[in-house]
Amino acid sequence: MTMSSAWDITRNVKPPRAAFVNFPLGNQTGRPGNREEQMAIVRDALTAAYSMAEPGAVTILPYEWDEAGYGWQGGEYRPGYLRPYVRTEATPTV
Amino acid sequence: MNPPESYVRYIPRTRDLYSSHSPYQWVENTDAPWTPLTKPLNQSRVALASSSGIYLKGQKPFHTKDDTSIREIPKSSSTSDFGVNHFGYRMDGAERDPNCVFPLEQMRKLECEGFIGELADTAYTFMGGIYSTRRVREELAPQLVERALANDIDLFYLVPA
Repeated sequence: MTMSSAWDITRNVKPPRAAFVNFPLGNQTGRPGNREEQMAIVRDALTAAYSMAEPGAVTILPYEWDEAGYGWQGGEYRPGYLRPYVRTEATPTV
Repeated sequence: MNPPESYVRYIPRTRDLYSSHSPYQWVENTDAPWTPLTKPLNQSRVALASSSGIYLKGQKPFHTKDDTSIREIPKSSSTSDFGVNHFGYRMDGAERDPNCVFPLEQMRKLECEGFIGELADTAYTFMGGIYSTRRVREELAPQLVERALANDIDLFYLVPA
């Protein structure tokens, strides 16, 4: 069972079982310091592994990075993306 | 199986980010291997692996030039003893809390709760930013599989980063 936050790469590679979390790279098992979310993501992913029957399928886990409406996707993996995430500089989700 | 609309297209972004290089040759597999899971999760021995570049202080840190080496992390390790090195993701979160890319504390808790049968004694880490897919296939992956199978596991839980 593998975690994924990069949908297109995971679909290319086709690991036997994957659980997708739509978070920036570096947070595949939850935000730093958020133990409740970290536990829930790992629990959900392991549970999913046992219900998946189609090789190469991806289970999408229902977690949102930022409920407040600030996007992170705009700057992700673009020049400067290695700078620490700063909420106030993020652009709204399109 | 449709992804959220807002998912980041990492393949085109990688092409743009490294536009001065020749296009990266992504792995494209046509099908997925499959091993049925024969025991329920609460009776399964699970091993954890992470490509986050986490290592135990005292171990040799990963370098970022096609490092295909593996670090073995005893399951009782304290997360305050971890270091991290990787070039492909923002590490500030992992430095503060390694559990966001290497969920060792979560796995220990799930073992205590009986949610998983057992957490294998050793977890495995490596630095996933390896340019050569051939070296991953021929060097890293066989090593990882061999070590995990020697640990007599039922499920291998991988966290890429």
